[in-house]
Formats: sequence, structure tokens, C-alpha cells
Amino acid sequence: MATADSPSKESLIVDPDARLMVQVKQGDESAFEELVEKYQNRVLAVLYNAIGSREEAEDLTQDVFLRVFRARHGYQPAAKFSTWIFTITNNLAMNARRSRKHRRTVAIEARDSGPLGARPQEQLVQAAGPTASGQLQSSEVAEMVREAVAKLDPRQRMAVLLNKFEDLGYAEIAQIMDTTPTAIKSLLSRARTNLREMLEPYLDVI
Amino acid sequence: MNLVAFLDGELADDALGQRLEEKVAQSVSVRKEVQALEKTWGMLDWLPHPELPVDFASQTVTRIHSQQLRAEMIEGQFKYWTTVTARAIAWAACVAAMVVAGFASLRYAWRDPTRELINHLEIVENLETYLAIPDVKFLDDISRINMFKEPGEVTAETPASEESAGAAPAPQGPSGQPTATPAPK
Repeated sequence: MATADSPSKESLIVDPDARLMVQVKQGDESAFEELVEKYQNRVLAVLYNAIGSREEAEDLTQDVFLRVFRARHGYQPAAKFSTWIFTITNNLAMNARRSRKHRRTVAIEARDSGPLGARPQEQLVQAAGPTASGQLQSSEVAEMVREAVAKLDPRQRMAVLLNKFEDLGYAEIAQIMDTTPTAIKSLLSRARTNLREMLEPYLDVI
Repeated sequence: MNLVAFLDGELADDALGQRLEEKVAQSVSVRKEVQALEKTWGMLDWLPHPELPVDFASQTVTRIHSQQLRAEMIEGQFKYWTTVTARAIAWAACVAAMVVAGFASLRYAWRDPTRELINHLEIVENLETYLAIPDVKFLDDISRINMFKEPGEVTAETPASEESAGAAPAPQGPSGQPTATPAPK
């Protein structure tokens, strides 16, 4: 594992963000601000689509950077900085999900899974109803896609978001989610099959 | 599973990739499946990409500073109260140790003048009588002839049958032991 506390070692680090983080470690506050600016919207996008609440996602985004700053002294640029920050992001998203699991379960049960509740696909049809005969409004498409992603298993959802938004490979996603690339391959395959099943009826009307 | 990995370019097995490629080219259903997967994947571009305010970074830094300040204040208060408590405990321990040491040394150094008198009270009370006796032989002699024997008194020589015939109990000292009868002046 390479260490990068001295400037000479710092120059050996290939990842520019890891170099910035080493500067943060050395006390450079502007480097930290630069990192925040670079990653804030990327982290927010993953968190927002993973959690579904804008307000909570913003709070968690700030928490991610607070954790990055707090952990600066122990930072070792062994892996890409993005892998490290999205590992923190994934952990926080999991914690947030766990803390509100009960509340969420109750809400979903009342709305979706009872004998009188609509199935996910039916909900999508209902959402598309008013304009299904013609072209769907872009906001409606966005809502349908968002709902389809929200129906995915949380781990599938996180793998999809990291793959789609961050263009990360299976190995990197596996590192972030603390699993194997084979497990990620399986997660993503199931996720994409589920998404195809949920969104296929709308492929022709878009 | 392999089809998605093939689309993602994550198939490690080149031969398998080749076979899948051929299958996609030959089979209409597989081609449709691939197209559907690619289209739905493309639909994810519709997912929202919210943005944070431009001053988010500076807000975060400000929050870090305020947290650091608060942490330092809490740490400072903790240190202050820890020091005060430690000093108070040290002082209390010193005072207690001095009290114990003083009490112990006083107890060791100070001798109670009445203790010896109490220990030898019987001798002190009968001192004049004991001084009047010339020696132990004299005591043995008067004891043998029962010179000072009271009626019914039990002596060492009195048989057990006499003792049981209405004899009064021998006088006892403060410790409950029978005492020697002092000789008359």
C-alpha cells in the first residue's frame, strides 16, 4: 500500500482526486473545497436516486464530505478517490435506509402490496394513463423511470446507479459495496431484467 | 446474466463473448432482448440529476469549522473539569492520608496512664496486704492450717462432700476467677 505524506510521493499518485485528498490530509483547505465542488452533485445524484428524498439526500451529501474530512488523517491513496467516497456514500445510504426501514415498510404496505393496492407495473400504467395514446411528457417519463428504479432492491438500485451515473466497472462497484464482482454481475443482471420488465410497455410510446 | 455482462463489456471469457455475439446476430428473439435491455438502460438517462447550490462547498467548510470549534470547546471543558476533579480528589486523598497518619502516630505515641492500673487493679487494691506477707511459704502455712477459714468456706483441701453441704461459693475477682483470701492485717 502506497503512502503519500511527502510531496515526492504525492507526485507518484496517478488519480488527481487522490492527490487533492493528500493535500487535504496535509491541511490544504482549498483542496478540500475543490473536491467538494467536484463531487457534490455526483454524490447527491446517487443518494437522491437511492433514497428518494431530496432533503435527506442533501443532508447525507454533506455528511459524506464531513466524514471525508474527518477521515483525512487516515486516508491512504491505495485506491481511486472516487471508490473511497462512493464507499462512504453507499454506507451512509444503507444506514439511512435501515433507520427508516420500518416507516417505509408501513407506507409501502398500505399503498402497494395489499389485495386492493396496485402492482408496480399497474402503477406505471396508471401514471402513463392520460397520455399513453400519444407521446409521453418528459416529466412523466422521468417519473416512470424514477418509480421503476425505486422498485428495485436497494442493492440492485445502488449497483445500477454506480454503473449508470459513475460508469464504474463491476470490480470497482464490488469494492464499494463490499462484495465480489460476480455478485455485482448477478445484481446488475437481475436489476436490468427487472427494469426491462417494468419499462418495456413504454418503450414504444416514448 | 452473461448477456448483461456482455452488453457492459464485462465478460472475462472471450470465447463466450464470441458465442454471444454470434447468437445475437442469428437469433431475432435474442436481438430483441438485447435491444430491450439497451433501451431500458438508456431510459435511465431520465433519472433526475439534482444540483446543490453553488455555495454548498463553502457551507460544508463552515460547518466543519463550527464542528471543530464545538469539539475543541467540549474538549476544553472536559479537560478543565477533569483537572479540577483530579485536583479535588488528590487534595481529599492527601487530607485523608494525613488524618490517618496523625491518628496512628498519636495512638502509637500516647500511652494511657490508667491502662496499667486497670490491668493490675486487683494487685493495687490488695497491695498493702501483699506487702505485709513476708514470703510464699508463710502463705502456704496459713493455707494448710485453715487459719482464716470461714464457716462453710470451700478450700483446696475441702472434700467434695463438704462442698455440697450448703457451702457458699468462693469469692471471685473481677475476672470471674476465685481469689485468694487476703491475710488479716
